[in-house]
Amino acid sequence: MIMPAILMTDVFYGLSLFDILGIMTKWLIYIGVTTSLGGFLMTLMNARSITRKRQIDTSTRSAVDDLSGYMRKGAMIGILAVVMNFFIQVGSFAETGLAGMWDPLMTEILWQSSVGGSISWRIAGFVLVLLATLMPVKRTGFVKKSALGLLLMATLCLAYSFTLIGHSADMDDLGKCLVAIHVVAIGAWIGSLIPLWIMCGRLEAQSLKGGMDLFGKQAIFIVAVVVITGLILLSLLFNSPSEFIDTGYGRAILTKLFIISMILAIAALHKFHLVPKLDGKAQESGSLAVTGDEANSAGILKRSIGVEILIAALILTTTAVLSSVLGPQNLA
Amino acid sequence: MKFIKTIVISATMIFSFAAFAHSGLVKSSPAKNEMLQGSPQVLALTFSSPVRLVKLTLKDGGGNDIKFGFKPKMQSSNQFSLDLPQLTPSSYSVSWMIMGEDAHKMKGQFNFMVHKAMAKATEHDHASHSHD
Repeated sequence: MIMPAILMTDVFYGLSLFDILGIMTKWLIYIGVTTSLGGFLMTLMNARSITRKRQIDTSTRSAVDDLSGYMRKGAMIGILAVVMNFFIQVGSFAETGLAGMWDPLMTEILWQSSVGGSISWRIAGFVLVLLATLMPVKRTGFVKKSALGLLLMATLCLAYSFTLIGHSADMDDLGKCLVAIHVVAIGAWIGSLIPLWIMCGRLEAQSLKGGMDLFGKQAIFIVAVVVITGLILLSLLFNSPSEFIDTGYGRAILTKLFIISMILAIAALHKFHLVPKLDGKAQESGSLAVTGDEANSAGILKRSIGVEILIAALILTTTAVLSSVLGPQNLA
Repeated sequence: MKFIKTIVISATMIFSFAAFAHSGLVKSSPAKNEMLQGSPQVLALTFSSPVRLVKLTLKDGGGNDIKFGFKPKMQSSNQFSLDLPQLTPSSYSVSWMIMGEDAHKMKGQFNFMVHKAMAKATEHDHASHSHD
């Protein structure tokens, strides 16, 4: 354990306390955003399934309640992290130690910059998510539609906030649009992993297979959006392929791409191997009761999604570092 | 454990060689390392893109702050020009800190000399930056 600790010190060598705190709170903001967007995607999936069945069963009802709790926690973490991140930035600009976090002049300068706008949109987004979670997304038409409407507005607010600061602020309108779409797609995907992981422990094989299949169909589209927008953004941010090797930003992007390829491989393993296997076991058993084999298949899938969640956390960490302390050459 | 170690080692190799890309200041008057025969009238800074000039300090060779009425402005601009008081012969160091349009923080420092015709400039220019 000492070795990684020393190496981590090396990684963050040259960064101030505020830089590190800034990266940590940014990571928490990402968690808040992904939880909100992923929760929204899963809520939409449930809403479709409720509409099809024309009724809500006990397991769906409990899944809807779980999702509301999940999004509520994410939105609260998001609001706290946004506020903390703002004062950490104030402290970073004031350069007078921890007391500088309350520097009135720096607070005013930052608030009037794009940071202030971004914070306002993010808090608005998270508050809309909180409001939506207070409404029961069950069968009743108007309430369900209102909650989904609030979540859609929250998604737009959160996505827009990412176009105001960071490297995307230096890009043209096309770049900003791509960043917003990229954030929504990757947030919805990553944020769905924990609800899916919970589903593995709750649902019996056939329901689990149904849920996973439905998610798998959407995931292909989402992953395609993530990859296409990501590749176009890379082409906008890099002048030449050699920058991937020659610059710190390029090497960090390569690391991110490597980690993303790992998560894509795991997602493919789920879709083409573990989820179909789940179905086979269910058919073999010929019963809705959970057999040992089913529990085993669901257990393997759950463990595998667990690994996917850890890799997703690593992707968010790389992104937080990338967007905080490194910059692309052509925006210099 | 081995997996985590591999990741941490890779991250160390990548990020420890990291070079910050944003350069910030592109031109100044007095220029960096410039040796002037008399006191400059103004301190002018030109940045690569519109920025908010958050901090600007001028110190003489003895490390004393020279007051010249700088106040942070809320508006972004590429160029800043500030009147200077009469500067006595010495080496001077200018430190700046800016906030980019993308809210990233950048800072840097450069030196210049007033008078002292034969003296060699004690150049020590460096720029570093960190982002939000």
